[in-house]
Amino acid sequence: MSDHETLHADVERYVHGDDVVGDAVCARLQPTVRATVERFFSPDDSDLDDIVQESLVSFLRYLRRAGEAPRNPEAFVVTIARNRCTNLALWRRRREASDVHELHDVLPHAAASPLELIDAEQRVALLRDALEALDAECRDLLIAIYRQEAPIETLRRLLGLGSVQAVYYRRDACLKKANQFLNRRLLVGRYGETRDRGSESAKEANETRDHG
Amino acid sequence: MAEPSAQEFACVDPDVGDRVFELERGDLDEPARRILEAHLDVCDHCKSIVDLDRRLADLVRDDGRVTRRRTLRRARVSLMAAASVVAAACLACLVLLPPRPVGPSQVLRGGTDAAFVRPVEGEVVAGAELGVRWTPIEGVESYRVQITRLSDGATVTERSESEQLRISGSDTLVEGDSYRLLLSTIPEDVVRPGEVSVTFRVGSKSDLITHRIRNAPFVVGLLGVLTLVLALATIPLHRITRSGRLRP
Repeated sequence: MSDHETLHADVERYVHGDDVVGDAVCARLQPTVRATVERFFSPDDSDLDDIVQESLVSFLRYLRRAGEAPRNPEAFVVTIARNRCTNLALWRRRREASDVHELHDVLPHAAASPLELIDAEQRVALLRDALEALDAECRDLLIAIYRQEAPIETLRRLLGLGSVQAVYYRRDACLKKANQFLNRRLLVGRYGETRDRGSESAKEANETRDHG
Repeated sequence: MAEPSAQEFACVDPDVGDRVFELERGDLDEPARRILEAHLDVCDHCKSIVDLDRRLADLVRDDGRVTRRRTLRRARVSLMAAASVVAAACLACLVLLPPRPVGPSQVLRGGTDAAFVRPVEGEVVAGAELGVRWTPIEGVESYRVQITRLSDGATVTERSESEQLRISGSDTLVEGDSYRLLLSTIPEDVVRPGEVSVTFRVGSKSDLITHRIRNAPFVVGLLGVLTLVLALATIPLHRITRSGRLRP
């Protein structure tokens, strides 16, 4: 049985209530997760162990709550870890002058929404920008849904979609676009200034804004 | 610490992540709901999208509320301005237009062709000076106006070349007395004797105001009602804009 198959088998056993195998699952996934976090920050980063630990615990919690294993556990847990790293990077970028650990009690969890990181006024401005950056079709759809000016069934007819569900999928797609814009703005900055992704990311962000 | 290599958030399981919004469906079965909720718990990407959805909804609704409140405020200001204009017009009409004629013989007095314009029949006037006007009569060289105090029959006659006359003097017009004006002409045969006459009373300023309000012309009443309606219409708008009770 290959490592991959063994991992899958252990994950399935954990899903079905075998607590003991949880340690084995973590032991198998930990090197991959650790390598991911090390690549993101550095091997000697003070938060490395916390992120690894938290990602693995989140994965186990997911298995129990969902009651089923993801198709690719490695990719799943690595993405959890990478998202945690992104979040922490955002934290550090936004709170350079503050020691996050000292402010532990007053600051939201590092895994909270990135929008929690910025001031209310700035947040509203950013949300407006995100809405403006969307194409007119997406913007109008979101506004129509949020203002509840028309029932979803009417919107479905106006959009020429086959089902109400499709309206929600369209909204989901629009929100993803807006989220992408927000994340880029938060990570790269308004005018494309960045520490690590250089001009390529800045160009992408600007293109997104211009496109909007 | 090394510089972080910035990444964008990614969905931990896109197949499930694409269905996160099904959580809003009331008819979602329990296993599917469990999976989606578990996914949302660990997936920062989907969590941020749901968070963005909520915040955008709040923003758009707040904007809508602000716009509606602004519209309502504008409507309220417009209504108040309209009410003020109508009230001013109402007041102007009350002052400038003659009151409705009152009295038992108002139809007969003055005939159809020649008549007193001011005072009108039964009007209350104030002060020791009175402007009298009547309709012009063709072929008349001059007019004579006989002023009779009804209480004692004292009479004064004034002459005028035009269709108006100013009667003054505290002896002539005494507060509390009623008077009759009788118009005759030179030559005398143009109007029948006693055909053009009017009765009025000299009162205090408060009598004058009361009379004017009681016997205001129809248009003044109409404008008054309109002012009231416009003023009342601003009250609910004022309450709504003040309390901010606007449905999303």
